[in-house]
Amino acid sequence: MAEAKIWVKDLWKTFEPSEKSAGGTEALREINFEIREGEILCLLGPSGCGKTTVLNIIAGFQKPSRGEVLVNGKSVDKPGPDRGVIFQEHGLLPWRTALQNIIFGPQMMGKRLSESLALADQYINLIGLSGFQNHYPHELSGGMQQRVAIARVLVNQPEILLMDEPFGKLDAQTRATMQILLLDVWEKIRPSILFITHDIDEAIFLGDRILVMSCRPGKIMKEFKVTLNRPRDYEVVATLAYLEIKREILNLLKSVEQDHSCDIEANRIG
Amino acid sequence: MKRENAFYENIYFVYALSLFLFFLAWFALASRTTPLFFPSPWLVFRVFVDMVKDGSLWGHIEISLFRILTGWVIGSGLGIPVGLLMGDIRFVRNMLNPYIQFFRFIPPISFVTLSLIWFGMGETSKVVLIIYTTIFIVTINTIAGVMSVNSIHVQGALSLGAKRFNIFTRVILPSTIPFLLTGMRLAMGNSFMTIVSAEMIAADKGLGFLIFTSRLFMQTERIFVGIISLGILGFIVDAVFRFAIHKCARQYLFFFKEK
Repeated sequence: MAEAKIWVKDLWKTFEPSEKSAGGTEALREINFEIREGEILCLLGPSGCGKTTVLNIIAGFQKPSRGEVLVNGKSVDKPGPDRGVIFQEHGLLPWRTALQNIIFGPQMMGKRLSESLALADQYINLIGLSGFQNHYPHELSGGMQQRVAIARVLVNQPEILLMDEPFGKLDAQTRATMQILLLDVWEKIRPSILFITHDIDEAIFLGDRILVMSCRPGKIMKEFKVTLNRPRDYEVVATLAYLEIKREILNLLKSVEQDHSCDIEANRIG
Repeated sequence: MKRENAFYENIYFVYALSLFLFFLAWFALASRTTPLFFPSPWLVFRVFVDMVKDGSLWGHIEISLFRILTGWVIGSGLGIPVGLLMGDIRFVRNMLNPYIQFFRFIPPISFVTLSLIWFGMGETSKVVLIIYTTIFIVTINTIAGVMSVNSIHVQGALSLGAKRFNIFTRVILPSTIPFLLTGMRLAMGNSFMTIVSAEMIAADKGLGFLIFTSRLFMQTERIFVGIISLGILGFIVDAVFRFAIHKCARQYLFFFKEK
């Protein structure tokens, strides 16, 4: 396991008792997995199964009740620029233009303005944001907002990207474009990616491996290896290998008794 | 095809109509009573012009505006940092909140006498009352701003390498700007309300003084002039403030468009 970039060790999370649930809520139980150098690992699960909690713990936003997360062998205790986070909401600072949002990271790291701008320029081109530098986030479409969100993370040159359903709010067509864009960028700079989604097709299309989570408490049910060739394009969804793995995942989900809040999105067939 | 605009959709026409009806009602009311009880617009206008000509009105406006603006600026200058600290640090919030919640229900007029005793006959006692009326509104609005900072903005900034201090200056403070500006606008309104109490005793000039002393001589029309001047002045000051916000802090107000 020398090449594990992130090692999630025996993670448990129970939320404190509240008005809604007197006994506290067990969100995660015994989560174990690793993310290898340069791979895309998809965490697939229904809404409310705790996949965002896993990401929040790896990002350092929340503390686990038990267990720990090792990044490059070091235990995570707070957020940091080594782990770039991309949220479902773009999370851009609304009073900053796209460019100002992108140079936020370099500025925080104490880089000089000229250096920050040069770095920003590089990623603006890579992500396809040319011409939109001076737009404020509310002036951009959902897809462009997420492009800025990705660029502002990449500009810090993190080895790890944590992506929490980043395309979940986009329309199907934009989502497809963004998926291709992500794979394209990934091929070029090869970060290790944890990609959280509730969309089976998205998980298969992007991932090297898929971990399927179950609901309440969140547990990892099964790991699937995606052996589809890279680089991938949308032709892949019509291949037998693709359909085979999709069938396996669907069967797994069907075999698990699910309550109403645990519906997984499985209606989008290539 | 664009529908023909109805006359009542033209905003300037509606304003004009509204003013016309207002003055019509005023004339009608005044014509049925004595000037002492309800002076006509014409009488008020004549007194207004006289007071402008002999310079006395401007003197009243000048000193009231000075007191309001000084108190408002100092009050905001105190209220904003206090609100930021209270919003950001739970300990400070818990320490100060009881006093905020206590004093904000006590009208400035209750402190007129105390202010005179403590701060003397000069300008300070009046300005202090304006500070008092400003500070709680600005503080409470600023706290609300800090409390409603989008947690994703904070998390994102932390993941981009921001330190605690950066979070405060680069995320919390800018997110709070629309709230504290709203607090300042509300406080400006309150300052205009407070100026009359502040100038009630131990003042020899000011719109509040004008309104209050005219009572002694039963000069109802001068009271009207004072009231109208206050209203117009408030309207102008607010318009200037909004214009300044629009010029200087526009990007921070995009915050509202996000929601």
